[in-house]
Amino acid sequence: MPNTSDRAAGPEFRVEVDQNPYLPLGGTEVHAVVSVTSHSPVLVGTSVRASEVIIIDTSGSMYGEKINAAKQAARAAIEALRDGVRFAVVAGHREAQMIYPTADRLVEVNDGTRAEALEAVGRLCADGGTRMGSWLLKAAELFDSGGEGIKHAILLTDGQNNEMSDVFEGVLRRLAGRFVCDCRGVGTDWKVEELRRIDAALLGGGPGIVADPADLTADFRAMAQASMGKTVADVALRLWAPQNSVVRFVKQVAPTVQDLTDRAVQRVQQANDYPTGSWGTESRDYHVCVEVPAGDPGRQLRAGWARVVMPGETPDRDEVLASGNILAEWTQDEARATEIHPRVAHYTGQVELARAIQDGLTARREGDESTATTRLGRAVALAHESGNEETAKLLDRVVDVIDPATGTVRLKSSVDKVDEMTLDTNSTRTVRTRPRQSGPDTDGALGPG
Amino acid sequence: MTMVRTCPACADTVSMSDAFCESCGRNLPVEAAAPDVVPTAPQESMAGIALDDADAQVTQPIRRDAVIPEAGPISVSPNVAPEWPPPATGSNPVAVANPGLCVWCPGRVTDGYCEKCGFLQPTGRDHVEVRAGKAFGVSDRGLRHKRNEDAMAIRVIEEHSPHAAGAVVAVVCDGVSSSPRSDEASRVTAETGATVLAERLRQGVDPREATGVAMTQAARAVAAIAESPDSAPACTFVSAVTCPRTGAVTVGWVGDSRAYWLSGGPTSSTSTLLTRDDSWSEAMVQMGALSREEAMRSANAHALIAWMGADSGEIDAHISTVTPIGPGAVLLCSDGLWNYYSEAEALTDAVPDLGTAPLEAARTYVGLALRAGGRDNITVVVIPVPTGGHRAEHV
Repeated sequence: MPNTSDRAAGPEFRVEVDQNPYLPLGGTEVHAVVSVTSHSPVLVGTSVRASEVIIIDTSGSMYGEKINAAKQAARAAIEALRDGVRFAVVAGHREAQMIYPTADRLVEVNDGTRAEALEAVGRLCADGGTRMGSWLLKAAELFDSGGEGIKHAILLTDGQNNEMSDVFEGVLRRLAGRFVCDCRGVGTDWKVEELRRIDAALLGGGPGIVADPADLTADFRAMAQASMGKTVADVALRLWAPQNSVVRFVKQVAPTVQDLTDRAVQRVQQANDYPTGSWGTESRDYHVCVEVPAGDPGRQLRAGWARVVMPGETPDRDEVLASGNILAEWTQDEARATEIHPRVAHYTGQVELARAIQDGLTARREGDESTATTRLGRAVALAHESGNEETAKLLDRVVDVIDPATGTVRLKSSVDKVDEMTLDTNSTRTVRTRPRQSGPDTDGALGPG
Repeated sequence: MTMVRTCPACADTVSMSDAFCESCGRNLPVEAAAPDVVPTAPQESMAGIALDDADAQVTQPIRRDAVIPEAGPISVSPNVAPEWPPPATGSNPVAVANPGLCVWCPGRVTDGYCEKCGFLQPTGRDHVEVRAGKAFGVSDRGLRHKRNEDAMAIRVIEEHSPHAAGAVVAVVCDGVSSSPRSDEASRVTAETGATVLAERLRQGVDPREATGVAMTQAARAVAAIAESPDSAPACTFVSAVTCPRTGAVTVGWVGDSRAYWLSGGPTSSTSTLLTRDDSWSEAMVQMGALSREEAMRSANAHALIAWMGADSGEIDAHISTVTPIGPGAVLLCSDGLWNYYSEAEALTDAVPDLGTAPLEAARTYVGLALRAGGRDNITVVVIPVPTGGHRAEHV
């Protein structure tokens, strides 16, 4: 049911639930796809407070063409920032170094500061190590000084992180959800898994690979523009579930796969809040699974109540922007009970596809050819079945497909590092299915209450 | 400040906390790592669904009894452990005391769902329970029908009444689904029947005579709501009067709703059906034309040959009195139950604590019928009969 907010700058949210509410007798697992759509005003005004931190890896390996491309890209991003946004540029090497401004703070974008920043970016030079955790800590510090609003960082790297993994993980745990970070890897010497970890903790739009440094400028401009389109930060997906039930999982399944299950925070009684970061005009889908105690035939249950919430200072001041019901009804009609909703099936397949690609590539790297063949073959079949042509194309460069329907493949004897990393990086990007055509009122899906 | 050391392979300077050498790429020994300077944030509480409320749930007594009012705060009775999830037969009295509260748990209701247990709240007659202290009734829409066309009514004669003190009157009516407004027909008939029957008993009229009068008046009442003889709402009728003083049970019926005596122990009268259906199949069996099994297999098995309604003509009211030895219970039900459990023995075996926990028993019968398919509306009234009385005999 669409809820209209009267906040001038805020987006309008809509929640739709797609599911088969019917369970067989004794059935306990309720699955649903919760689609959240937001519409922001076309032009975001200065009333929306936002902060942007651009982090450029300047470790030694960036030397030459890459650092020049990075400078161009940073400039394009700075130019895309609208007046009034607070920003900073940070160089990342052994430590995080302020490039603009030179003091540890954010400054407001205007013609003067923009020109100064463009100038300062020219002074970036490649030297030193790669310590992403410390770069992110610096960004967090800057955001903390900048007050409320949208907090977005862009992180560019070309190498693997040189921090002990427990240090890095500790930083990610500490910073989880504090700001949104989009990561880009340039070249092929960085680790997909590391950027994926940052992306997951900081709710990015999925890590990206920019194989050719020349493409960085357009990519950075697009990221900065997307960030400028965000109008609301720290939106939570609140899931109420019945007493004596267990939330099995909550996964973002479109546009990228992001498991949010362990990110639950209980802010109000009997409900978990899952962070979703900031929103502009966009649409995201979530696959929710709740295990409920089995009920008698004919009994109808609200197995989940999904609400899009803008947290206030205290829980009673939270603003509910939209909501939808996940229902359950037990029936003896086996045919009705065993039917899987097409959207639930689709996203189950997309999540498995991501897993199969990652498993397959890991096995391949480790020299386990039989597992790699099986898993990548499964990925080919899933991509084929779901019409995920983008992923099918990427898979084509890693395996020779003999039969896409059955997933019969042969590993290619030599694979370009770029192709492997592109497949790995993009594995979590899913293709959407269209929500059902009927009206949005999911509350009435089971007939008269 | 960065602490430094030397890479053992290439002798370049590396940070104490580096995982590998930026120059040669060699992995650095872990033990040289600096202590974790990044404090690990305490994990957010992952307390999920309020399972800790389960205790509160267990100690909640069954609430909002229509007859026995709660005094003061809700008393805690640890012996009451409600089934979870609540059975499809809920505890929704005819008049819900507070529509803002869930009928199964102490939760509040929003959008028709409980904020605690999540169950959709029953509306209208979908699921109705009557608790009259000495008798309990549950009526449910079932799983196939769009609405509940069954109805029931229970009256208990006051203990201080000069006549028939403590007697229990119950009526169950099943709307004939091929007739118009059959839900209204059953409601009017049940209410009229129970009201008239109780009135007559209070006046000192004999239960058999009172039953006859009540049936006549109920039949007139349902005939009166017909717009024309061609559009006549119709229903079945079964009533029971239990009299604690004499131990007699008087039943009256038209149609195929039934009354059973169900034995509560080895010394009680054996369980038996107290009514005989006004149905085509029963007529075939009585005529010796078909065996019971053959008759029930026929498409006509449930066709009524008598009912109450403007188009029924003169009603042929059947009245029967028995005086069973208790303990036990009188069970009134619509065919929504006996379609699945037609033998008195099967009904007795299905619910052993019939007389001691009559409300739960009524719910269990409805639950059994739902599990068996719930093809029709289901209505069950249980009237416990305590120890005593004379050996059952047809009068």
